[in-house]
Amino acid sequence: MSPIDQLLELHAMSRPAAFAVLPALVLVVFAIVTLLADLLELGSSRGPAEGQAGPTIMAPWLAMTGTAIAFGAVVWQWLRLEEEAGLYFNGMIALDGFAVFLTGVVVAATLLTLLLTVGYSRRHNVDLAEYYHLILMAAVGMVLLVEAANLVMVFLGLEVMSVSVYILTGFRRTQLRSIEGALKYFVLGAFSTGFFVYGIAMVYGTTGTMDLAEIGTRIATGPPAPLLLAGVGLLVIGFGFKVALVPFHMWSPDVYEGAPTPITGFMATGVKAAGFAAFVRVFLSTFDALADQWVPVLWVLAVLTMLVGNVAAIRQDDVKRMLAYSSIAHAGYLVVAMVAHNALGTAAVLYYLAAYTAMTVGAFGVAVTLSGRGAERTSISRDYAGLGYSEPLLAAAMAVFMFSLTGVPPTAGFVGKFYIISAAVDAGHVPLAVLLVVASVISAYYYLKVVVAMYMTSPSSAGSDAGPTHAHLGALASTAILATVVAVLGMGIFPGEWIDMARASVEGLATAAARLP
Amino acid sequence: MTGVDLAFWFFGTLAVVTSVLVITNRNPVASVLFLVIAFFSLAALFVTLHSHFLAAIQVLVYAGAIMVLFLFVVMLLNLGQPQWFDVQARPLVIVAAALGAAFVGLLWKGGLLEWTPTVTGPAAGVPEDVLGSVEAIGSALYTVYYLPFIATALLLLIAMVGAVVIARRER
Repeated sequence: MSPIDQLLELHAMSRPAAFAVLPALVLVVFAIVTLLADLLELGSSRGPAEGQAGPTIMAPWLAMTGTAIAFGAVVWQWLRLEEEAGLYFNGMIALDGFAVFLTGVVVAATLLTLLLTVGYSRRHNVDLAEYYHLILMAAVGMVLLVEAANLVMVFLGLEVMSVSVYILTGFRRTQLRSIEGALKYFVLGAFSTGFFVYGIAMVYGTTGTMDLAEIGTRIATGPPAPLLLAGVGLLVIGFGFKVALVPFHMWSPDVYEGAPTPITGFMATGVKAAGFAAFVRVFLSTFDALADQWVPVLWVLAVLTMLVGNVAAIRQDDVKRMLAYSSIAHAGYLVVAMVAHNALGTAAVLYYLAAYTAMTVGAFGVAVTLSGRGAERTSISRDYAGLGYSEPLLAAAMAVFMFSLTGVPPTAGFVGKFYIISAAVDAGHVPLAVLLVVASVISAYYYLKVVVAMYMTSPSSAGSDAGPTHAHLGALASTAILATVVAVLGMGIFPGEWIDMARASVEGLATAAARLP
Repeated sequence: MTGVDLAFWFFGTLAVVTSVLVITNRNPVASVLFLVIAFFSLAALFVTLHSHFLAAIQVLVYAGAIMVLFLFVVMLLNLGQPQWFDVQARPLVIVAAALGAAFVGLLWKGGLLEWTPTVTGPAAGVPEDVLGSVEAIGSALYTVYYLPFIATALLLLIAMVGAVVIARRER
């Protein structure tokens, strides 16, 4: 036997399966087709001149078709989960309930973003094929991140997702804020990636493997090495940056403000959900044995994130900045569920991510349809004044999202917070649960400010010089907003099936399921 | 102390010192040249770890091709005013340095130097004569690390598309 044969023997492929990465595969194929289809359009009568980039025609439809098929693939994975669950690509990819549930969330967020973005990108001159290509590629990164079962895959998924989103943030190149946001995001993102890789290196250095399950078994016995703890700490920083936990949140308001509004919605939902997926998998499953060490750290981060996010949001008048701080606050609620460190808490993370995605995409959807042409109109006190009378249906939808973000029954936001609080109380973190309620009360102030502006002020009294805001509500954007309203109310009024689904999904995370109450 | 240990400490120190010089130097061209030295030191470290192929690639790709591109960009931008790179917030630099020192101190106190690896990496079991060779890396890339390999290709595609998008003409 030659040395090469021995090596191949050693690294024998085990279970390569397209099925496990089917949603990502579909998205990649359509992302590349989107890019290539643009070549066919170039030189047609579409552009201003031959060979010049003009508005794209096919790209949005191709992107939406691809994402819809990818969602179908997720459903197929869910239906065949019992037969197909397991590790694929030599343990790089885990196909389990947790992965499939959150893949569904991020693919749905991508689809809603695409529905919202078509009209917007025409109005704001960003309707290039590359724009849709990058949205699909970001979704590929999210799917890989959600399914990753190896630190190498976590890192690559994170980077594929982040690099696409950096570029999307700076897509409106003529807008100074967009450039500022993209540059900040890129520089700070690269910096946080450094922390993340350093953390991976330390974990690898102490355990000798990057396989998440294998790390878990190797650290289960004996006291943890100091180097391993340092690595875990650095990973907290890396994840904390990606999901915007205080004090690693500084970039988020500027980036959210500068990015095109649909992309902001995409960042607040898809990027955050995928980041939390890997965060939860790495900490609640792999580093379960080190819970005594990381739970206090996350406890402090949760408290800071909830307080700073909510207090800072009070002063914002720009709807995108307000939602940026609100998304920081919601990341804090999700960390509370992680701190609870029981199966109910993990299920609550899944339910809350789905609920949060629906309500936040919806809120950003309303902001997208109101953003107008040219410079975006995003001031709450001026541009949202009197909306309840000029656009009654849209204002009603926005009110639903605001109530849901506050956590008022019968919306999904209320049920999500209820489960997080019960998980925290179950785990004995009563002060944290109390703090979550206090934070929600603070948040009511700025969420209801939007409702007050819409229903209790008129555009003239608010001192708007540009006249009442006009909504650009196309069929696609209407569909997206309607779908999110239905989802928010549906998940709020009939939470049973959803929470059952979330609980069933969590069983894939072996160590967390061992604590089922 | 064996020769390998000596080489590790020498090139390791060189890499750290030149990396610090890269970010503290005010002249961008000098920064790039220090980066070349840092990359060479890394290549030397790879050699001490029996990764000859990686060392060669490190020199060819990073110290060679990428550095030439860096120099081109630096020269094309023609940064005549290196003051732009001045760090304005001195107090923040001090805070950052203190936190960094605290992190290193914590590792030190945690027994970093006494720590010896107790587990063996994936290199264990690999035949001595293929360790670090092109074959070893190739077979690892196309078997165990097949999916990360593909994902890296996607990442490069995204970077390329991004460069085109950012450099495009405004219509």
